[in-house]
Amino acid sequence: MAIRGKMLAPLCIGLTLCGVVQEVQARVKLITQPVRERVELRLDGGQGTFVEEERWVPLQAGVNSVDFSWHGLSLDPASLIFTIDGSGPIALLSTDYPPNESAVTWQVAANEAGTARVRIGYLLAHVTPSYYYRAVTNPEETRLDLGLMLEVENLTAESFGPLTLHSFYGPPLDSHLEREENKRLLLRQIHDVAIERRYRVGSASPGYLDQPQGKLKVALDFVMANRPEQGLGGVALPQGKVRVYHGDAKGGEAFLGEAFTPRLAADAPLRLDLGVARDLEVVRRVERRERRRIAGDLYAIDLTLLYEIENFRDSDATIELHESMALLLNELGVYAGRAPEWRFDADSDLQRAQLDPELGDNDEPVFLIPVHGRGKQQVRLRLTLNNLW
Amino acid sequence: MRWTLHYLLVLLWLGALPAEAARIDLSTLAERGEVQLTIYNSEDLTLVRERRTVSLRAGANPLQFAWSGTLIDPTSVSLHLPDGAGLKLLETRFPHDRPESLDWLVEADKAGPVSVEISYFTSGLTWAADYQLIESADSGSLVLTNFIRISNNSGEAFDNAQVRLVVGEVNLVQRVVELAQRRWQRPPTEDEVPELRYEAAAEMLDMASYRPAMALPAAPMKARASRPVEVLKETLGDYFIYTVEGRQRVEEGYATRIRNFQADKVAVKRVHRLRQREYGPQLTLVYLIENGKAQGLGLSPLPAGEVRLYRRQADEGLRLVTTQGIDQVAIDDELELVVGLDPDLELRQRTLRAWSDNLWLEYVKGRVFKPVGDPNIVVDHDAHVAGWDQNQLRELRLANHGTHTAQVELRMEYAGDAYLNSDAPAKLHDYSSAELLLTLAPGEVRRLHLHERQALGYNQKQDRLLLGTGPLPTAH
Repeated sequence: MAIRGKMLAPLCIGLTLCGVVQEVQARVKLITQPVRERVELRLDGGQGTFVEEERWVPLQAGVNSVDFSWHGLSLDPASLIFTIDGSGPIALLSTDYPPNESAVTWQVAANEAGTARVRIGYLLAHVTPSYYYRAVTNPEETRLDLGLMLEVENLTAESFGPLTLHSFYGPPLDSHLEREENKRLLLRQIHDVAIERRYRVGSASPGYLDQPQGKLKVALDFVMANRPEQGLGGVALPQGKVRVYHGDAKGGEAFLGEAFTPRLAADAPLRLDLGVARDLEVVRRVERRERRRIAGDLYAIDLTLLYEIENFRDSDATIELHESMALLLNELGVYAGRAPEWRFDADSDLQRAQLDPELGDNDEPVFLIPVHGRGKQQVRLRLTLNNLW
Repeated sequence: MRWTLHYLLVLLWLGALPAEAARIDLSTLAERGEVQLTIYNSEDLTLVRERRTVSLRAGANPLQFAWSGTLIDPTSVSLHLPDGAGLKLLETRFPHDRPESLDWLVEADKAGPVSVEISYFTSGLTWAADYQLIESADSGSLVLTNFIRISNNSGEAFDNAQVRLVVGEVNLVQRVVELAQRRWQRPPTEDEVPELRYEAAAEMLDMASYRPAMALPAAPMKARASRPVEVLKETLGDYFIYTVEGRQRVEEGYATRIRNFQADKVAVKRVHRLRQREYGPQLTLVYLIENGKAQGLGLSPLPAGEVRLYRRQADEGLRLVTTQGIDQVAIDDELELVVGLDPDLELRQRTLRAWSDNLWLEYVKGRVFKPVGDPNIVVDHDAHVAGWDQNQLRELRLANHGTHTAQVELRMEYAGDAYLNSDAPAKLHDYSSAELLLTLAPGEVRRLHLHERQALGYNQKQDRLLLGTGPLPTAH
């Protein structure tokens, strides 16, 4: 213990210079300290950051004690995994956990003296990954270049280097990581990703710009299909912050906005909310509301929702209209406590054909409405809210 | 403060019982010879059997056994004298002024050295099983290594100990540590002793082949072997027992882990399950490993313990996938390891349509209305909806983004009087749930549609799930 107490390195491996029986109660000893040859930091496990380090340890013929100790680190000793390879037969006899110490001793038997390669793996807290995207559009905002970066925050008192960082979302990266250092590394750079502009409106979300006037907020989304033919890799993408810049023809950039993206499955679209669009206007009104008794306390409501859409842009646009049926029932003062039951009326402008096949559900259908450049149009959603009581 | 304690077996040569108030004694110490530790993993319980040699004189011999600073259950301490040696245990006393000790009075026909056995329960000496599973880089077989970890916080070190580990659960009515901390102010009565002892005690002593006397070899403590010690496995009644090869020094305060067994090619069945009650609302990857001989396992039950699953990477490194506690797994039974979410297999669910039908009204009373100047009357029945069937059409979209075929088990659970029809074959699991089994090829996307109906209010007649067939209703 006296020797261990003088160590400055938070993580330390020691080999006791004793090739015969090592009594575990003898904690005063002379040890050699094999240096760390390389480190693998695996940030892709479900349990936290898993560290694997490799060292070369001199062994004597007989039984050797290999001590591994740490202080000032949140290392999970139960997660320690130890493997050893040498030129001759080597056997791991036992693992000892001395009392009141952050240490483990492996008893290793070697047939002959020599050096052996040991790999030690363990879970370590306070080394955390996060992800960051940087996107730069072309001048027409039809395509963009997307950079995915890995940010590693090392809040421990341990330095790692040289090391290899493994992330679920990109190739291994060689680097160094000093104590209490943050580092950002480029994981992937994806060029020429096709962008679809979607103008998203909905009374529930993004809500109203001016509710008394019925003006809905129009959110501009950049939507990118996560498929290889669209430029993205068709692999899962991590959650993280995305900053979007407009690239001009002269090489300049203007900041367009930023958004958080959740973790995306391999074929889920990457969707960036870039804020409110002012060059489209959508006004929503309840044009007709008629209550029709069926029997007893059972009734239906025949309803017409009118959407007046005006596109002040020169180019065509696609409006993505979300209509929350639960909020609509609330608006009408109906609190059924059951899943909304509704159906299209035959003379409705919006029908099943306008529903987005992937987005939306019974509670919030999503309609896609094309609007011409400089165009103005009225669209009616006529429906029956059925079986209310 | 760390205690350095040892048991004390004192032989009093005063020739008669000491007076209660007079404690001027002359003593000799009988050192511990061999010791056998039988450690249970289901409870904080260890049966210690040790042998000591004492010199007796003809007539009555007082013996004192003391255990200060340890976690011994005083009610469990027993002295066993060899048969046919002309010895008789006359009396056991628990002195009120010496709380952690007891006195035995042994009558000997003749003088001479005698080897006696002392047994007792202690707490603080425990063992646990650790499992290390390393999955190959191609997600083929696993290497399963089982370790046993022995921890000694009993306050006492044991040299030259045969270590036996019991796999199985014993029934205790009171914990050893509680009894160890209880101090006798007077000897327990005949009624109190069985009340305080564990129900399992006599049973365990019998099962441990307590009589004849334990056959411990008299070899001295061995040096640490230059190869991993073997762990022998044998059945013991309803239990299974591991015996660690050779003699061990079980150091106080330390934990030691040794390898129990290893199987190098363990087949694993990987299945993705949706089971709300067991795993929550997400599709969960589960590994099933049979504890059978064909796997290189099945020599004993897999004791309860901690499992750590690592996945070998293409670069030979390891990735820790999950850590999980498991219960004991019987021979030929399956070890179930919940790996968690699999990023390669995605499930999205949405309701395409909801509606109610088969509506029933309850008529309470009628009210009569008559317009002024009109002979007609209108009867308005005060009625409200009393029963209905709530329907929904749901879509489950499954996508396999991985490179392996995926086995998927969807367990759909319902409450009350329910009905299910789907465009994939379903079979009843129990009265209220059904299972759909699917196989998804790499890259495959599959959409399932379910028509679910629940009879509510007056319509609910049963608590059951009925499976239907035929075409499904359409969405909006």
